[in-house]
Amino acid sequence: MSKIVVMGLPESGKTTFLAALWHLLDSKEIKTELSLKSYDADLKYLNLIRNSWLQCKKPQRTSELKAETVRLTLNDPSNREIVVVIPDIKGEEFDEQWAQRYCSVEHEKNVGSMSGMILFIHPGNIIPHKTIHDAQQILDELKKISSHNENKKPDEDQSETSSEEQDLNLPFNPNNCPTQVKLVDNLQVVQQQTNLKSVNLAIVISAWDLTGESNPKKWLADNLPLLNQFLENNDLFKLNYFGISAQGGELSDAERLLSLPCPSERIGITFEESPQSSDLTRIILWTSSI
Amino acid sequence: MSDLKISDSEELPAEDAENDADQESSISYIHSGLKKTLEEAEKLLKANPAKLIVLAGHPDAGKTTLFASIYELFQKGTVSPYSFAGSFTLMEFENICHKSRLESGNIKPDTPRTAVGDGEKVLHLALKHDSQKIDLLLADISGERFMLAKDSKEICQNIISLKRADVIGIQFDMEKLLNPVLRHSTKADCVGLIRAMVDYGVLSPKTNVQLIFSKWDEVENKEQEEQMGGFITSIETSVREILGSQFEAFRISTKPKARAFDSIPTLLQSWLQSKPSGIKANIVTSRSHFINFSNKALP
Repeated sequence: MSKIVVMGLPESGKTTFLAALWHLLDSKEIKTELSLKSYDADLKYLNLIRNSWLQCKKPQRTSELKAETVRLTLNDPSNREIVVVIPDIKGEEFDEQWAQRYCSVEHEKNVGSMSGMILFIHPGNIIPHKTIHDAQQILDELKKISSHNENKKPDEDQSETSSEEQDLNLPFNPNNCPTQVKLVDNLQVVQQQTNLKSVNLAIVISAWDLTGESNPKKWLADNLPLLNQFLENNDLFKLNYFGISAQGGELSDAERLLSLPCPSERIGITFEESPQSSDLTRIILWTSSI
Repeated sequence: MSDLKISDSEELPAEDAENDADQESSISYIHSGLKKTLEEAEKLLKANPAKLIVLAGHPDAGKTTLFASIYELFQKGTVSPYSFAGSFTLMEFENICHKSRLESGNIKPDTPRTAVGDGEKVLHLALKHDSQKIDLLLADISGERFMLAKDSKEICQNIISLKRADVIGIQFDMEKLLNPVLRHSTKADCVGLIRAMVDYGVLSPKTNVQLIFSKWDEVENKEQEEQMGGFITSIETSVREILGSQFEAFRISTKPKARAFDSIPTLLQSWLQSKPSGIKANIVTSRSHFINFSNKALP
């Protein structure tokens, strides 16, 4: 039996993934690699988020909804059992793990007994690494362009603005740290909690259609370079990268999405072996592979 | 660390434990992510060998800023040929970098000053080159402590990191060297610190000594550079007489627009590739050869 744990910071796409996965497995609208054998979850919750998904509405946030741990037992074509544990799926827990320096005993136990992990990242909800030097360089460039257009020397405006600008000295808040730092820290805790020598780690970039990119691995390297270096340099993680569009498009495009005859076909997955697929269970199958 | 509201302790806070027994039974504490004592660092490294780097010099010479700048480089990408493989002091790095980030609401980047009360603690960076992982421990010690150490055998010998360092970078603040009032006393203090380390038997034969001329962006024109070149030569001559062995010198700026910013990767590489220097504690030997990287380090 394989056990897979799902991780991700708040609003990283875990709930939408679960809603679409539940619909795929329950409706059997399209052929999937894995089939549902049993589940241990609050059906009311699963159906509620699924209906939101079917209606192209933003699913209720897990923190607003009392969600229990979702445990799905799936079968692969050879009848091997794969258990997917989506623990309470509150992304806040992973944020708190970074900022408050604790994690739930349940998460610790799940990580201790897992064989693979899925990490969700939402490109629209990333806190970037922003230094004052970088911002100054951009400002300097803008001032150069502006002064060039107005035939002024670059320094003419500078003295005026700098005399008005003051340091705000806002206190340090760990919640505002870059997403890539939080995720490295979360994964380092995983490293400490597992005794495994190798863990399949599926990096899932959600809302993939919004990036306009074609390669999830390259997107990660370009946008979260510290996390990318960490992942590439740690032997524990056997990596694969997936871009998924679980909704099939932006919610503002609901009319088009709702007109599609088969909701399951809204789902799009981009990954190395198969550029086009709607079968989310392929991510789980890869993560559970030995 | 005054504005960081998390426990520095690796233990479960007693007060919290009493207040909320139910919560305690459902949560598991993880290490703070703050800087560590050498003992704590060694425990976390589980016997993996690490390189210990000490930056020594006046308060505000830019020691912590230099460590922070190296961490910030990895946030943007690899520092060829090295890439980031982890850190058990991420929270400390983030706190140190806060005042140079937009989130601080500041206009001018800054680094919090390391307090004497912070004691002797290290930051950690794990880096990888080819398939080899190297752990770096970066000693974040207050400048005040070093200034006391140059005058006191007891204080100097009590700084454990100095005895165990693979590299000791003596940091000269160019802002002070450019100031005619402070120039000579700054030289006397820093060279005096090296003399104290040798005379008090603190320098190990495996330790590499480097001279790091920080805030090189303060050197504004060719005239100043030439003027400083002569003074730096006099510093190097004094250090050479004390050490009697080879050392490297670097001109560094932590401002990305400055030319000397590009020397940071070269400096990092020198730390990671450092080999035993041949310096003998309390013995001034005749110098067989002298390598000065000052000019090489300046792009």
